[in-house]
Amino acid sequence: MITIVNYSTMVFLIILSTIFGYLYWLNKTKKIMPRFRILPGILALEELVGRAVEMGRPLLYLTGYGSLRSDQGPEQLGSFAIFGETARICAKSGAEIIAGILNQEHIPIITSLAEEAYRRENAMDSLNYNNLIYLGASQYSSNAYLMVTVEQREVVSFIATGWYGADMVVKGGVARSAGCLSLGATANPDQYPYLVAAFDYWLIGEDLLSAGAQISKDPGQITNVWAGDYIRFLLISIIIIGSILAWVGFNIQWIFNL
Amino acid sequence: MGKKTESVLRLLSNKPFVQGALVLALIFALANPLGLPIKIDPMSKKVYDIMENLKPNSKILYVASAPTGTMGDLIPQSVPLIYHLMRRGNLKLFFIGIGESADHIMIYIDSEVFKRIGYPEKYGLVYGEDWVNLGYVAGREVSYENFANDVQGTILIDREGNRVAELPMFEDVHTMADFDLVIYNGEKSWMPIQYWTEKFHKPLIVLTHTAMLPIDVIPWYTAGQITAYLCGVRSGADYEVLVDRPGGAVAALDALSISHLFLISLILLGNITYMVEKIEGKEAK
Amino acid sequence: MSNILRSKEFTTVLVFILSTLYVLHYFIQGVEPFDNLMLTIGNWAIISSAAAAGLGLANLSIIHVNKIRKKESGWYWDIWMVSVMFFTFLLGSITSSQSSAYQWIYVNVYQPLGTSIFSLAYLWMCSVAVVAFRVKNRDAAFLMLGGLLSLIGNIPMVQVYTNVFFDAKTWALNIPVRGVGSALRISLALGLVLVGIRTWLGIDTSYVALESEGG
Repeated sequence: MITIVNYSTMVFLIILSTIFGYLYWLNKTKKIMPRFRILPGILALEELVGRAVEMGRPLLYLTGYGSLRSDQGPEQLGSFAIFGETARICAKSGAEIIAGILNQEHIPIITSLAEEAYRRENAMDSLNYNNLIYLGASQYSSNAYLMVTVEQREVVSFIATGWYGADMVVKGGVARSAGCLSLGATANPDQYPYLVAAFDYWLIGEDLLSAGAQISKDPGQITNVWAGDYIRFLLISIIIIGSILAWVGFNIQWIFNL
Repeated sequence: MGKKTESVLRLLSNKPFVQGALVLALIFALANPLGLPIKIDPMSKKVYDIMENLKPNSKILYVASAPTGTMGDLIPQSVPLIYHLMRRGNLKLFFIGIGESADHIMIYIDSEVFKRIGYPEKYGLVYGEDWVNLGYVAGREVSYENFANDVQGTILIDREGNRVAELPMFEDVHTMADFDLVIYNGEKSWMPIQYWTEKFHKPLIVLTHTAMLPIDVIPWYTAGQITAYLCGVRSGADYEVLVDRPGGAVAALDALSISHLFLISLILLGNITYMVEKIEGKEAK
Repeated sequence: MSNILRSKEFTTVLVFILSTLYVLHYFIQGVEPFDNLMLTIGNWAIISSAAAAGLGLANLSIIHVNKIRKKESGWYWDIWMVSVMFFTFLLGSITSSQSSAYQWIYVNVYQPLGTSIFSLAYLWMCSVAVVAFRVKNRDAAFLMLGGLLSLIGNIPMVQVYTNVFFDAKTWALNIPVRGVGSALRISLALGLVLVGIRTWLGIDTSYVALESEGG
């Protein structure tokens, strides 16, 4: 027998889609666009690449371990967006970029993003495929590679975006001790404290997830993030109302059984 | 800046000194255990009581998803727990590894767990009837969902090469609904919650490490989605005392205390010298 | 044909179709052919993720063999790396990952190396903590107090003599930290859903290059 399940999720998706559709219509017809809070981490990309150009040394970029088939996928997509932009800036300014790939699934994606970035800037001759290196899908190999590379190749700028485990503090600490300017970005809440403590610039949580929107300035993406803000207001209202009802003694358990 | 302040600051900034001092302190603590009494955490006792009160022939699914690096914090609580389950002698144990870190799971079960407490046969358990090693399933979320909906369809052959459908203990095991308890040993407790316990309402015991506790375990536990949890070496030591089998976790408690005290002293020393440096700077002006 | 398969349009249409199937399957249950189809697609995903390991092997082989051919600095270490990699791969393929030789490599080489590298995390954490917990302003003071409370509450030695710090740490974990943790998770989950919707509808295509010629 065919049954429809998860009604509450369906209602949530319908509300979200309605808000998104309405805001997208507003953007398309009335050209209304929200202002984006400028993320210091995104602005820092130019500074990081500029430092590499000035000092004639490479920039090391690690793209995160997250699997695209999991809840880590969205933050990896944000990581790819930042990588694409960084590769484009490097291609334009002539900085050398070393991309450490931490998940085998990302190899074709990173390769094609690097190619696209260099092709756009008509700099395909300067793309060094030997700098797009798979480091093994483990923290240990990437930490070891980082420790060796910052010394041997005298890396001056370090960027780590995507999903990371407990090695975030090691990567930040190693980069800092080697004198690198560093940017870290992750949506793994367990790593926020280490990110803030060990990196010079950071993007945490939603900042990373919306990085793609800010970099591309695509109306569809920006409107999508905008819709998320309205949903957050709705969720906050529901939490406050629910808390008051529960405090007063109303039985709201039936809502969770929907 | 005074000479003493400057030299202290230079020492604290000297990574080989800081890290070397910590390593020496840990070696000393491990070599000379203080043997202090252990205060059992109520949560460890709760897990113990749950295991002790399991009905005979309960089907327990043990998921090992421990990355190699964090094994030091994930194994101490899994060893006494698995020992407790096997010691009962009347439970059905299903071992499986799911997740990208779990490809070493069966080696870890052999080398880290069974090597220390003995194989299940030592406790009178028969392979295929009382315990089974299902091996590793790749694919993260997809494999969680597939396994929950069709156990025998997702895993056709067990670790020993037997067809799962022909094993006696799989006679009435087809979906997640047929298990009585899930024990998850790893870092990503939201995966069994999302795909198994939410949908099939199974009790879930999480064995994880200390860093995961605030963000990853407490919210789920207070929402009732995790029944109980063991966290790190500390819980491992509690459980070793409860099952009356002191081992590596109890021995590591002193090292745990020393490492914490070392970090606290570093933080305080760093702040004191920072304050002194500021005062001296103001005085100089 | 290969240009069509590698085009952005084909990729986004494929993503849209598969995403739609998964979303529908989440809400519609009890249709056996549909369930079987989704199970099959899920198994393909599992197989493809396992097969991706071969990409990693190929990438490492190409890069390190290039370095050996050009005799770049430290090229002998590249020979060692490639040899060990292929030896372990062939050993696991020819015998099995259960063979005693393969298990020996895992237990006596890989595991200790991995654990050693990982243990560096605590050493680096100490170095970073000395700088991060400096009381430069009021907010930093609260940060340091919270950190110290949590550390002292975790010390088994202290818990033997007094429960004050442990209870304070437990209260902090169960009340303010739990609230913040839940809020972070809710906000993050919403962000993940939004990215999912963007990817589903083809609005966000950061995973695929716009032009796919050459390469």
